[in-house]
Amino acid sequence: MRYLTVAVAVVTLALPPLLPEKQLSVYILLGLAATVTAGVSLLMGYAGQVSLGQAAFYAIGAYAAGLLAVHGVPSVVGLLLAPVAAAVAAVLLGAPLLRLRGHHLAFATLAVQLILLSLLGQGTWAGGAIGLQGIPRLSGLKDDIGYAYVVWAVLAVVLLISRNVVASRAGRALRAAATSETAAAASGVPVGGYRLAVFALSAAFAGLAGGVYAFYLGYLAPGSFPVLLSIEFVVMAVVGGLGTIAGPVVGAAVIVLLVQILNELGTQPGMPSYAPSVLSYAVYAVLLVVAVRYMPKGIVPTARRLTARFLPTASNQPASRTPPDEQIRNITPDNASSSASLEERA
Amino acid sequence: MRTRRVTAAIAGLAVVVAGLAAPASAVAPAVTHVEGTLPSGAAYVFDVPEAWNGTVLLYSHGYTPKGAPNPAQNAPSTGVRDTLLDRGYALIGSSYADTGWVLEQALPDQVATLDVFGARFGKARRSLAWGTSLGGMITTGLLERYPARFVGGLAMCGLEQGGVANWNNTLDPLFALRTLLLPGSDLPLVRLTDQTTASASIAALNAALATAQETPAGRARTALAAALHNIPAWPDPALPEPAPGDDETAQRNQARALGTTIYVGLSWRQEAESRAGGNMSWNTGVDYRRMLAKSSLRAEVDALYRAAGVSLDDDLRALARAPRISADPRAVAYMARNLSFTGRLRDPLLTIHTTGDPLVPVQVQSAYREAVRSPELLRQAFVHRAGHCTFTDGEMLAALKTLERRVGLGYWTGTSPEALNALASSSDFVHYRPAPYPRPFTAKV
Repeated sequence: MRYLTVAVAVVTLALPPLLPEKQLSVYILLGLAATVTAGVSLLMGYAGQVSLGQAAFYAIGAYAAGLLAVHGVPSVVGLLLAPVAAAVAAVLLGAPLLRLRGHHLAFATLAVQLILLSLLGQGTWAGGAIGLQGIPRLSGLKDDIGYAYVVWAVLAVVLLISRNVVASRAGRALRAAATSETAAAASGVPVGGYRLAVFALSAAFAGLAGGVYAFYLGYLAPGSFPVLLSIEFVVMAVVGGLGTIAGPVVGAAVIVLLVQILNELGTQPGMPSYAPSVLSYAVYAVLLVVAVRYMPKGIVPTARRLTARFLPTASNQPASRTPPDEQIRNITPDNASSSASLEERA
Repeated sequence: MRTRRVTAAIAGLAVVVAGLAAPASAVAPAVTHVEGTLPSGAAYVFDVPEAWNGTVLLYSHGYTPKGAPNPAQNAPSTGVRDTLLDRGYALIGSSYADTGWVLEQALPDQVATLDVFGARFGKARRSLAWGTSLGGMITTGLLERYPARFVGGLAMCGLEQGGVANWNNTLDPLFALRTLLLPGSDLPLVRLTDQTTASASIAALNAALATAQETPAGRARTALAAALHNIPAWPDPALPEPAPGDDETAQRNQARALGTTIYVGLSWRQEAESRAGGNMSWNTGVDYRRMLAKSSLRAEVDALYRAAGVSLDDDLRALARAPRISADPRAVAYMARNLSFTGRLRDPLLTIHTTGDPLVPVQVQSAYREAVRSPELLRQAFVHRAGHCTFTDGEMLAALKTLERRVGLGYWTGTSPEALNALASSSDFVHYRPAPYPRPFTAKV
C-alpha cells in the first residue's frame, strides 16, 4: 500500500510539465474537486452526515479569497483565510443544522447553498450575478504548472489531515457515533461537538480549494457554484468509496475524466445538440447505479477486497495493522458499542 | 414541564405568525399576491392591487446562470414594485422554465403568464412588456413576435443587437487577446465541450491579461481587445471615472472589465453552445482594422500604442493573419431563432441604457436603431453611469411613465434627457449617440 501511494505521488508530481495546456487545467480542476470531495467523504463516510451543499463552502472560500484580494490583501493571506472563512461559516450554520439527521440535514445543506447563491447573485459587494472581477493571480505564480503543484500540495495536506483525524481518538469516536449515536453518547463521546468539528473541517477543505480556484480562474460568479456541483462532490465520494482516504481522489478522477470523454463524444459531428448535456447528466446516474449495485462501498474498498481475495497474503496481516479506512467497515450496529468503548479506553 | 413546553410552543408559533403577517399587512394591505406554475414548469408571480388601474406590466428578468436559483420575478426592484402597486398597476412575470440562454423558453413562458393572468383577473385594458438585461432582449422579442398582445415595451439595458451579433462580438476581444497575448496558442474559444474546458480557457486568458498589465505593450494590446467590444472607460461605479485623455486609467478599468467579458464569453457561451448544438459565432471575413476604426476607443488605443512604442499596424496584421473561426450553420440558425430581431415593430418601444455598461455595451442600441423599420416607434435614452443596469428606481419609473404617455397619446413626448431627468429627479439622463455596433445585426455566416 505504501509503495502504491509513493508511486501515485511520484507519477502525479511528474505529470504537470508533460501535460498540454487543456489537460493541465483538467489536472488542476480535478485536484480541487478531490480536495472538496475529501471533506465530503470525511463527513459522510466517517461522521455519517450528508451534505448536499458542499459547493456553498467552496464558494465561501473562493469569494473570501477573491474579495480580500481585490481589496488589496496579499493573495497568500487571502488563500490562508479562505478555509478559515468557510470553517467559521460552517460552525455558525452547523450549530443549528446538525441537530437534523439524514435527509433533513441533506435538504438543509442544499437550502444553504441556494440561499448563498441568491445572496451572491443579489449582492453588489460580491459582483452580483455578473461576477467578481479583477482577482489577481497568486503571488509568484505565473503559469498553470505552478497552480498544478499548489493544488497537489493542498490535496496532499488535506489527505494527510484526513488520515490523521480518522486515526485519532476523535476519528474513532466519530465512527462510533456514525454507527450508533446513542451508544457513542452513552460511552461519553461528545457527539454534537465532534460532528460540528468535522463539519467545519470538511468546509475548511472546500474553502481552501475555493481559494485556489479563485486565484486560478481570476474571476468568480455564482454560476460557477451550481447545485449540481454539490451533487457531483457527493457522487465522487460515493463512487470512490466513502470512509476511505484514497476514495475521494479515485472518485474525482473517475468522474472528471469520464465526463471529459463523454463530452468529447457528445460533441462529435453528427451527434444531436442535446447529446453533451444528456451524456454528462447520464454519467452521474449510471455511475451511481453501478456503484450502488455492484460496488456498494465504492471503487477503493472493492479494489481492496478483490486484491485481498487474489493476493491472500495481503489480508493475513495482524488486526492492529489494518488501515483506518478498513476499520470502519468492521463496525456494525452489533459491535458499535464496543467500538465506542474502545474510544473511551483510547 | 409539559405545560411549560406547550406554552413555549404556542408563544413561538405566535411570534412566527406575527412575523410572517406583519410585513404583508404593512407594505401592501390591498394587494392580491398569486404564485403558480405554468405547464412548462416555469413559476409565475402576480401582484394585483385592489384598485387595479387596468394596466398589466409583464416583467422579463435578466440572465440567470445555469444552476442558480431561479424564482419568478415581476419587477426590477422592490422600490419600483411598491411604487407601481401603489399607483394601481398589476405586476406579473415568470421565472422562465430554465436558466442560461433561455430565449427558446422565455418568450412562450411570458406569453403563457399573460394568458394565465387574463384567465384569472380578466383581460387587461393595457398590457406593457418591460425587462432588464436579457429581459430587455426578451421584451423586444415579445413586441416583435407577439405584437397583438402588447401596446408597448420598455427594454432596459437589453441585448438589442440580438443573439447572433452578441455572440459574434463577444468572440472578438477574446480572439484578439489570444492572438496578441498568447501567440501561437490554440486555446479553445468556441466549441467548448464542457465547463471544465471553458474554465481552462478562462484561467489562461485571465493569466495572460494579468501578465499584460505589467508592460506598456501589454496594456496597449489589452486596450485594443477592449476596443473591439467597446468596453467603456468607466465600467464599474466602484472604479474612478477617468478624466478625458486619461488613457492609462481607462485601460486599467477596461482590463478589469475584460475579466467579465472573458467569463461570459466562455462560461456562458458553453451553455449557449450546448443549446444551439455547436458554435454560433464566426470571425471569418472580419476586418479588425475596420472594426477598430469604428470603435469608440480608437483614440485611446492609438495613444497607448504610441506611448508603448509598439506598432499597432503590426498587431492588426497579426490579427488579420491569424486563423479564423467559422460557425456551425445549424447553431447560427438556432441563435437566429432564439433570438435575433427583424426590426419590425408595430408598437412603441423605449430603450434605456447606461453609457458605462461593460457587459452589454451601449453600442447595442445602434444595432437596433439601424435595424428598426419604423423609426417613429422607437426612442432611446441614455444614462451617464458606470455598470450594467445600474438605473435608479426613479429613472426606471420615469421611462415607464414616458412609454405609457406615448401609448396614451399616440406620439412621443418628454423623451429628452431634460424631461426624463425632471420626471426621475435625476441628472444623469444625457444626450448621447453611441458608436456603431461592431458586428452586423443580421445572421449571415
